[in-house]
Amino acid sequence: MQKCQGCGEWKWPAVSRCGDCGTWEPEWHEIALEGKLFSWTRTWHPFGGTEGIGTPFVTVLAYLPHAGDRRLLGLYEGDESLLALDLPLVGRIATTRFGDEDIPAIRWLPA
Amino acid sequence: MANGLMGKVAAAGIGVLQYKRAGAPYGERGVLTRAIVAACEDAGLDPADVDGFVSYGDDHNQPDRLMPELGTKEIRLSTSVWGGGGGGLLGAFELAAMAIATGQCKAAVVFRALVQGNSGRLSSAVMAHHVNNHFVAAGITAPAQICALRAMRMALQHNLPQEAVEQLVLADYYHGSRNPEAVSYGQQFDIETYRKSRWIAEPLRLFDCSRENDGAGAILLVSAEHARDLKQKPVYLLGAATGAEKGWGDLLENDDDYTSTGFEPVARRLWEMTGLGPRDIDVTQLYENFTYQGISSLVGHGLISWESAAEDLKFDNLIAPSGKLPVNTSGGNLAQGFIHGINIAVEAVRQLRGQSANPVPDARTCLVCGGPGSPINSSAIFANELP
Repeated sequence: MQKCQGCGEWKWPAVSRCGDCGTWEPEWHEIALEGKLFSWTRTWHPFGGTEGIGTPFVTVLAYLPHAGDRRLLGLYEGDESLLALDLPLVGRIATTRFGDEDIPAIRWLPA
Repeated sequence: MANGLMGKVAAAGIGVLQYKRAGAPYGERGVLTRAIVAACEDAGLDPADVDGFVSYGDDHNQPDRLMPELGTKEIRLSTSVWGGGGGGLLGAFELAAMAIATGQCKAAVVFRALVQGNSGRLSSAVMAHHVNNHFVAAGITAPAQICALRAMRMALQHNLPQEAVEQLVLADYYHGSRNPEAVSYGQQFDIETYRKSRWIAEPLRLFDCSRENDGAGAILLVSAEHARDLKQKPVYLLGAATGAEKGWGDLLENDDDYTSTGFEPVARRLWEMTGLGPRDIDVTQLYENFTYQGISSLVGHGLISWESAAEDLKFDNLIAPSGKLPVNTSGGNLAQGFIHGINIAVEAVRQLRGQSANPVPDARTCLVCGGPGSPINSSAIFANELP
């Protein structure tokens, strides 16, 4: 995750200049994949490009309290009855099949 | 605050051709040409005299390619609003009106055309504009899914009851059932039909979603003076605003207020430039790409609040002629048809001319909101008399 070297703001999506303080080249930081549930949806319609996942599947938008509450998307793995705002989550790195490609991805699980 | 557009420009002609998706009998340019000629015939203006062309949403029809069929004498304005969604709808009116009001051109059409055989699925085109590996990796490949994530947050954060959302669907389908030009004309639609419809992406069911049509719509704008000499009763543009404020945009779902649809700064300027407020609006044409986004648009313009939503969103309150908050009097994107939203602007003109299938008695002002939740959004107020 990016953080501004000038004002310390966490930046996501990534930028080349901090629009708040004008500092160039924010630093990349390795952060723990720990967040809380901000929103979710369960997709039932087989939208083009999701064939490699298979429906239904749950997508989660998680916010990261230790990184300025910036939000990251990911597929959800785990007990779907737990899905609720602020559910503590941990992430793991995986890949998602899209067409002929395996795309780097986050999977969110209940913490 | 700039108010230089106030009543300077008017809609003088409208033309729409609408077909089932993938059902247009002509190519996209052919459909569009017919819509523009229809708008000119409606106004009583020679299509060759149209000298301005404005569109939005990545429309593919470059105006210079229309010249041979329209007989265009000279193009003086040829432009489009950035962004792949419907957020540019009223921004197109703003641009055309600015050009007319400043004398840069005299007669401009705002248009949008969509024929699947030429341009593919609209949802795919919109996503091609926004989607990247961050979305795809999370299984998100369609606008419905992004709007579902936002809708879920609206429901949970604001305790928005499902019953309130259903009322908007019922109102749209009621209006559509009475509109001979609507896809839902003559159809009975009840709440069980909605509740039994399949999930698309929770909390959105099939009937929460606009479903695209083939077709084209065109609205001819000229100066207010010019419009008074043409065939139809002028429908004046009182104001139009487009934009986004800090904390909003194409931000990988990091918009500051995730339950907003981005209208707050747009509405603020619209009220300032027209001197009007939510209580001065007689009828509203919402861009409901999805139901929840339509409701958030009402909140963004101050017509309702999240707290009052359950009370305000009642079928009887949302329909013409009796409701106090009549919306989508043609049936809207859900039940009239969806050519990337141009239909709701056409309905605004019809309503203010007294030509709507669902007339609002004595309506003088109509708010039109374009794009809900797009990185850039736009709104406009039309009126049938100058304040």
